[in-house]
Amino acid sequence: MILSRRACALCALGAAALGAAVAGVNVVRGALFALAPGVGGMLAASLAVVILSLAAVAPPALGVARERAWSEPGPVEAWLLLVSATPALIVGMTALVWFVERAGLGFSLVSGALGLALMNLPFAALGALQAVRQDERSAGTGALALGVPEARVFRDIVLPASAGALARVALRAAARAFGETAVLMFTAGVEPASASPRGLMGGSATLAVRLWYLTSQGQGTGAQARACALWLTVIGVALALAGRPREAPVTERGR
Amino acid sequence: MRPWSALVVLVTGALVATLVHEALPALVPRALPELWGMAFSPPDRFGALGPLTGSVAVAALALALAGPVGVGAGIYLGSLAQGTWARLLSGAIDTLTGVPAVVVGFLATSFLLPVLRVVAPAGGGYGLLPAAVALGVMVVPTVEGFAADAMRAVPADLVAGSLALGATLEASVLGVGVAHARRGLSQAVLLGTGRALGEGMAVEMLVGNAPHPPALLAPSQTLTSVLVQQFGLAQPRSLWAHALAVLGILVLALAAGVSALGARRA
Repeated sequence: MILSRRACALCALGAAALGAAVAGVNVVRGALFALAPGVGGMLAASLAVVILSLAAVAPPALGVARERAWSEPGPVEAWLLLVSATPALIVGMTALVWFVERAGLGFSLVSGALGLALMNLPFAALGALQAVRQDERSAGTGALALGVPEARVFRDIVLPASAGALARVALRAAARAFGETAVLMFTAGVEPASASPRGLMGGSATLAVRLWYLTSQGQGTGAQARACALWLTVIGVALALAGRPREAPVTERGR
Repeated sequence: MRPWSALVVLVTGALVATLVHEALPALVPRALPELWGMAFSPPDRFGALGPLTGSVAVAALALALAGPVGVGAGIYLGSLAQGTWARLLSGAIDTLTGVPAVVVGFLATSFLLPVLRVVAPAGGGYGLLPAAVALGVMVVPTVEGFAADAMRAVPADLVAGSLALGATLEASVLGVGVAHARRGLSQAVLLGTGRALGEGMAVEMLVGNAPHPPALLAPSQTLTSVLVQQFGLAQPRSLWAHALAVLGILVLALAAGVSALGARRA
């Protein structure tokens, strides 16, 4: 058999999780249209792309963490550190070429989410790696020495022990994605969605893109621009503060 | 290399390769008119030197403003601060980290530009100066974070030895601690520079985006402001799009190069 039963189960679980995320995102979008008239659609679009991008970036980030949890830092970490300095604007340009033009997804929330996932991939992989290396690695090493398979040690010992640190990495990744403009203006479009929620394959400006667009058009003093700035600041700061690393917090600031 | 690691390295490598591939047609000799000119103004002028100078100037200005503040805050938080003041300053910098770049640009447009318009009415207040101020605000947390880490890495024995010789705590930290951490402090400034060079949105909102030579208080161009404004407008596979990809490579080389240099000094 090419695929093991476990791999099939994992694929099914992944597909179900993605389906649940898509359904959940659409429900949340509908609710936000009603709750925050004027900017509700943009707020919903912002949250939708953030949730979807986190869903897309989690498997590879955790995969790298699992594979390299017991390795000494090497070329993979050096490469991730180098590409994590890639400006978001450059990621946005590539995402436009890959997802909007070549994959034919057009300006859509899905293109935006994939672009954000691409932007966060090195950051999330490095963060997850640091998280699992910090917490309880010695206990995991002990279990490995007793002959427990690596995958099981990671799942049963390392992952539960580092859940808090991993959650903080996810929150910091969400903060970066929520306020991101350069990637989304090239992938999700700059026009707000119409009054009713559209599917994820439709384009919609997020709060950050709309704020940039309004300011660039000389409408930065309007109520909509101020509402966008307020939501962006409140949610962005809340996510960044909630995602502060507990130990050596300053290392991650401003990335 | 194992599958997930290989996948992540491959995807991130393909990102760089795509940019280079997009730029290739413009990199053949004489493909771009006036490549080393001062103005990037398609379809007839593709000068990269003006935006490049603008980018370097705005990053240097931002670091001139943010460097002392960030390094000073890092030294204070990394070695001197205790109690309420430390928590307050640390909390303020963490809060600043969460404010998106576009909001910083919006605030500068709302509050800084009207003031600068009084000083330089002809340019509408736009130019490298307001962009550098906004960029400086955004770079402070990066510089402070790495500077504080560098100060925390100073062996306690060194400062204790200085204290034992009768020096005050401040003199010991500044004279012995800072001297020991100077590589780390310069790394903090370099990493801040890398971030400043790659930032696009706030700069685009404040720099004025006119194809003129860079000026403090007159509309100018930077590499990132040109990319933000024009990449979505250029026809795919046109000379314009290829020329913009060349500018993208310059941004990537500058930002990643300076950051890599900073990381190597650690």
